[in-house]
Amino acid sequence: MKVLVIIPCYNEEANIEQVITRLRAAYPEGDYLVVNDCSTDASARILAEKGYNHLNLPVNLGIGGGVQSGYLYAMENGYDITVQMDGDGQHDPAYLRAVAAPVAEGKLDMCVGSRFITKKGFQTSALRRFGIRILSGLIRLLTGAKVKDVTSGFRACNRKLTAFYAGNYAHDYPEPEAIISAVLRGFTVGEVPVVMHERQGGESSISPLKSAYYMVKVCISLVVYRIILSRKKGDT
Amino acid sequence: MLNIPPALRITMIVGSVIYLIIIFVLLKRKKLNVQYSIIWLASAVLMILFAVFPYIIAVLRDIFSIEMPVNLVFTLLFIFVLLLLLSLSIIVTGFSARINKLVQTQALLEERVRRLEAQLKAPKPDETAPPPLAADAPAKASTASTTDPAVTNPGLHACDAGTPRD
Repeated sequence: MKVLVIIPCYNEEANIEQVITRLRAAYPEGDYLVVNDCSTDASARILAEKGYNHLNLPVNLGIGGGVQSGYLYAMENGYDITVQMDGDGQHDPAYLRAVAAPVAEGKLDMCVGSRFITKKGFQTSALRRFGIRILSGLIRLLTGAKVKDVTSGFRACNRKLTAFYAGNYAHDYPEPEAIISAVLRGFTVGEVPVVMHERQGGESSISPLKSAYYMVKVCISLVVYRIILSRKKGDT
Repeated sequence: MLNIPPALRITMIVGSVIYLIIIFVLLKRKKLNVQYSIIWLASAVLMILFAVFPYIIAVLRDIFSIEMPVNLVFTLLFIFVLLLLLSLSIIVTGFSARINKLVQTQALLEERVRRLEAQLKAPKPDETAPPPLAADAPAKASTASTTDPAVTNPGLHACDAGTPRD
């Protein structure tokens, strides 16, 4: 099984080196690809100097477009499983195998690493947990899929879903939207417990001010996805 | 019936004709794409039609039982502007999808070029390599070693980072 770990990176000069070092130590058998989404800091220089395997997007596409180029790369190079992992050190590569396992065994098309199953490690703020619960409930209401940590960017996909995402992937804040579009297309989505850390340095892409806007926007797009995708079920 | 003073009517006709001419001039100067001009041309033709035959407005007003004919004109205008904005959004969405695709393809190609260059550079003094490659490789390797593309070529990943999308 060829596994590709996709690491979206936007202004992660403080973290990226450590993330890759830990990833290589914890998961030497898989390949990785850093997607530098036109960082304005020294990320690009670090990636080049260290000789890390990476893509340089010439303009900033946002996390969705960045991750999607990772999926395109996986398709082009014939990977069986793609694992998405944040470039800020929140996701522990020690759990990579656990996240990839259900997909490798063929039990799931997509497996999300969830911090809310065992409730260990960094649990993020109460307000954000509340927001995530609303999104999770909404996805359950709309599709019946039970995923708790819908905003987790730690997720493994099989080849079929990778191909789907290479062609269709949401932009802006794509994690919940990716889940609902996968479920509506008939893919199976589940989650396994992981422990996450607080981001180690730099700034999060979602500032508190944007959170309310984020919630409204994602809720609307989830409902829209439900409406526009329901009839197309199964014909990708 | 509508009683429009002749001066106003002439002004309206002349105005709409000038509007149509402006559209054609823009088209001729390639400031406007033909595929995007259809809605503008349609609007100009409608305006001329209404200016020449205001009777149409009177009939429409009776059909929709609107008191003031001018309200019908404003409503039609507003609907037209809405449609126009919608069509612009559609066009922008198309552009955005195309830019997305373009950027991703470029990034994949750039990565591939980097990988191939590294491959060419790696077995530098390899005399056992097959002749066509051996003749080619040292030349490329020497140029590559003076200007390491991955590190020193800023043009490769010069960003327009001013406007990150959110």
